[in-house]
Amino acid sequence: MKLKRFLTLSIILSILLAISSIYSITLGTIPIKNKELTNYLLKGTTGNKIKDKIIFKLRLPRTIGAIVTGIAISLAGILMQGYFRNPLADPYLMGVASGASLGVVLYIFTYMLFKLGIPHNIYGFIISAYIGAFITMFVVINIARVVKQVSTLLICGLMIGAIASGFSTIIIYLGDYIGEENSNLSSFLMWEMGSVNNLTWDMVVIMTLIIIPLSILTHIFLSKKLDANLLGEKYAISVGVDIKSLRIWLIILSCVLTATVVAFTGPIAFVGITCPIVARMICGTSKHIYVIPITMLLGAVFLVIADILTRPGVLISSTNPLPLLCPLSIIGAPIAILIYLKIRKMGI
Amino acid sequence: MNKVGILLILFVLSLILPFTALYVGGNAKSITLEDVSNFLLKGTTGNEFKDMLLRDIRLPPIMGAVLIGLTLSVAGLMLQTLFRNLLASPYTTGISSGVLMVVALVIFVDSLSHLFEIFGENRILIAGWCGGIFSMILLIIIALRVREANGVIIVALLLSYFFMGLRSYLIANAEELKIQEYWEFTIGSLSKITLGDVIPMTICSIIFIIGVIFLIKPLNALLFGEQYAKSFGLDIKKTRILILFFASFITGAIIPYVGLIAFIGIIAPYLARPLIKTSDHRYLIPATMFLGVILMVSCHILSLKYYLPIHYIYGINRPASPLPIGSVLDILGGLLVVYLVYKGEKKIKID
Repeated sequence: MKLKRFLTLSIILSILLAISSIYSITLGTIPIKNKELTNYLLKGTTGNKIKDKIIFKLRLPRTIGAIVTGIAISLAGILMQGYFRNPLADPYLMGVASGASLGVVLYIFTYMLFKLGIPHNIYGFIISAYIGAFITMFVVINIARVVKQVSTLLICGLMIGAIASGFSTIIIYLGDYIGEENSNLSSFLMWEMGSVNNLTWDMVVIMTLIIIPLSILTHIFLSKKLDANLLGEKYAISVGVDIKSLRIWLIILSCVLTATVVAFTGPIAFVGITCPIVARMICGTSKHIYVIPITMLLGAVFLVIADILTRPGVLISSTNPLPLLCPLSIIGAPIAILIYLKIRKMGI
Repeated sequence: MNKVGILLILFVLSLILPFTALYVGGNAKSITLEDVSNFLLKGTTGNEFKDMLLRDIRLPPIMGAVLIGLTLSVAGLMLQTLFRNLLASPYTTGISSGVLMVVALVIFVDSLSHLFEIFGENRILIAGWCGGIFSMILLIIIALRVREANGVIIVALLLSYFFMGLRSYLIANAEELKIQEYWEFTIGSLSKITLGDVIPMTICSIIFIIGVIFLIKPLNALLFGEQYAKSFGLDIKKTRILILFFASFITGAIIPYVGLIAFIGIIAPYLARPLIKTSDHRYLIPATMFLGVILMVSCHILSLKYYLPIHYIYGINRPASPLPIGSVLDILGGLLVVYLVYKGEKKIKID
């Protein structure tokens, strides 16, 4: 019964993902007709060299990037919820995403690294994001040892996010980043609020190579253990789950997934909290073997749609794109509030 | 030491610090200490340019810091008594974010700023009050639905993310130059205040402080619980709405000029309580006020006089610019809140 439901759901979501990806590729300041897209997919060209270039250089990395980002962040959300046993845990609300972005900001702005001979490249971005994420996660975990209530942990996470963003604001403010033309600042602000429109192919390839294998491996190896963990520590130990190593893996995986994405797209809000819960609701179960794939698909669909909404000409008529935070928090924050109120009503 | 003595010390400190800030708070090397004394005593340094520097650049931020310290800290204290939660403040209850959103929309969206032009020079203030009333109504709705104290704060903080999302719409519309203006506005900094802004801020602060003096008794009654307050002959509903109204009023009057100043409403009352060792608002309110002034002004001095090896870190050859005071408070206040929550939970565990 569950399996049937799962299969239908995944088929529906895959179709949704396909439709929204097609929209994402065709919509934009230069629209591409469906016929041209089919031509491009079948014959490798639309017949128009400029449109070929637009598809290959702009739209495809953006769409694939959005899909991969959605997968990574929603999976990180599910893993963190498993770790904290707290349905409101999420890479953004727990401050891990802000920590990762603080790492990236430090990396971009400190001239000292330059002097030491560390160049600016993609790997540097990822590594600095990892360091930031792991340090923040370490702090959050230590707080969570004492703080057991759902709400207080959430407040701590939000405050850690505030501290990290305070530091990065100071760093940017002091640096000469505002620049002569200000375009630096605007692109940085876009990054800080999350955006996938500056992704290039080499970034997308790295993200995909890290995230897709990790998510498949997580699904294969951790689903059962996560189920056991959800039922309580003692139960998990009695079933033979090595709880210590499981927790360490959960931390490492969620940090790596979050940081890989944050390094390129900036912190992505509210995907990690809404997708797992919606997935549990529509699956009618919290068995991770079903929930994880559905969550990942939902995250991908959510992010692709959010990305479509940010484009000029869809919601707004200006020439600049919106940051992802705009649609994500407008959709996500009310859902998060509803979830919070509901959880308290159910008495968990 | 008795309470009055402590209050006196705090008062003297909060008087001295602004003058210290006036003496040391600037990077212009040509202005000597003597010049400042002359400016204070005789009203002029004898040099027009120096006069202008002192009057238009050094003085307004200090006055802004004093006013913020006086008012927002007390607003935090009142909200804390109202919600019975040490974490309540204009920022954590979402009032500041609501005000900021409306003001940012009015300043940076052309059609709205045309609409508000009928209010003339004070349109920012009016916009701030609109935002204050709007977020007050939201807060009342939340508080009616959520009974738990921390729940109100979480819902309000999540709502402030929602506001942030709406605000980020501005970035898409703004031209390149306006973006910097917008960004500096949202992070909260004192350096944008002018003498013209100080006047409405001062008037609103005076109204607020008079209102607070009348609210001292009801606040004290609220401390003992609703039942007691009722038997005391207090109209609880009216008191609550009055407290919320005054808090939103002053937030709406201050935030438009300085941007998002968070956490002062948490830090000052938190430090005042152990110092004064009573929760009687007759002593607590002045102590919070003076501590707020001390904190804000010392943060202001810190943000001017910090030392960072800027040449080495950034590779830029220029004097360091003042830190945005909002971020300094973000860091201090965030650390304090985490510590508060941490300590509170530890206590529960021991029991």
